[in-house]
Amino acid sequence: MERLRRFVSQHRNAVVFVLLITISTIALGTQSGSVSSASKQVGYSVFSSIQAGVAEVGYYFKNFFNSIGELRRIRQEYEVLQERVAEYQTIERDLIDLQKENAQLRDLLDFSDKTKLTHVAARIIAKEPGLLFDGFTINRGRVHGISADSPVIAYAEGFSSLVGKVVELTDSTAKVLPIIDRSCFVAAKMRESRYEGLVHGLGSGEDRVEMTYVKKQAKNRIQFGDLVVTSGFRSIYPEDLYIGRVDAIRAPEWESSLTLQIRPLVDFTRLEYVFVLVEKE
Amino acid sequence: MRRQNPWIYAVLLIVSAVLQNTVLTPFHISEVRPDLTLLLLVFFAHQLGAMEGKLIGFAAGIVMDLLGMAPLGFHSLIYTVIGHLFGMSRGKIYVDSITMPVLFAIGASLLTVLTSLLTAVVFLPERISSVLSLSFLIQLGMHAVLAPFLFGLLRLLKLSRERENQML
Repeated sequence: MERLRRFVSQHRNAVVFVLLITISTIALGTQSGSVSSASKQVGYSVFSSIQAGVAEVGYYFKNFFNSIGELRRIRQEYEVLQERVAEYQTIERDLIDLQKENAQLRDLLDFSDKTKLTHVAARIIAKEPGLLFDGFTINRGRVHGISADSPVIAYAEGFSSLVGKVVELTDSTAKVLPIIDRSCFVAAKMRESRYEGLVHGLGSGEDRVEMTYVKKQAKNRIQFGDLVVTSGFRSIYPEDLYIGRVDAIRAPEWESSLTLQIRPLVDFTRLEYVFVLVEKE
Repeated sequence: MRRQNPWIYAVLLIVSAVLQNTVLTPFHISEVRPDLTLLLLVFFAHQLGAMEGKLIGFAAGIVMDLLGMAPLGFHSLIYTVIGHLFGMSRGKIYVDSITMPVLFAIGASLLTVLTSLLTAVVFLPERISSVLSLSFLIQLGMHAVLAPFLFGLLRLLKLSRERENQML
């Protein structure tokens, strides 16, 4: 014991180094590639409030400086808009009549809202700064009805497009794994031809995702620009959420399936607001 | 010489990790952001020595892991190695205004790639290609450009603090 103590005091620097490396390695090893873990969840709960606070302060200052520049532009727009309001008031009257008619027709058709999902709007407050991992944090959490694996969408090109899923959350924040991350897999299909496949990310360095396991006979029926949607098959993602458009088709002879390069509809570099799909109460 | 409290530096690194994750995210070139925490760690480790360097590196790395998407232990391992190695340079290398900060930044970036690659090979094989991407070269360039300014600023802060202490 005395010898050990003497060894430790003589090689304190090396012992501490080995100890810290061992702790890090064990932590890495126990997670075995998963995005979330219990130990990380505990630590994240502690730091998420600081992260949210700093993000809010930053957002306040950003808005403050932006608003000074925008004030002048808004004044000009205000005058133009006042003229338009007069036009819209006329249109509004017509619209009210149409809405009444629409409601009556719906009643006649016994229309019911079949969707079981509703969405929670959220703002991105933090982004993964590193190069190996992709993800961001939103300012909505458990108290807003969000749960782990909740799908996250955004509106792009007029479509409700898939952004990713919630992987970790606290009461007021949640971490989102985007579809561009290498560990994100989504069951998908072609919107027109209905051929199915599996979409997975290629990392933030790439602006595309990949769709694999598409049957080879689909080659002649898939065209550039075709839309890819979620299949909803045994998936956490509901059916028919838009993912992207076909950008390239690869059909190597030695492979039994096609690989499609998909350009996501969502521009992840400019994403600021998202919607989290949650179960209706 | 007065011994410096490493906890202050650890807190500064943690603050930088939080800022990098939140308010500094809009500053990027092709989605590549400079790792300011890494540059600060290199400077602090050089000032404090190997023991303090690896301890503050470990602390900052843990916070980076908790806030981001990386598995726990990923950044703590990389920053421990960097804190230790650059801490060993304390008193042995004179850091001038431009050349050494640039070399330190390049060295730290290359070490990050190497450690990330080793970690990816063992624990995250699906991410190996991300390590060897063009983004790392862009980040290395960003670090080399930023380092002289950041080191200069930190040196100024250090000098003014020392002057204040002398006056007291």
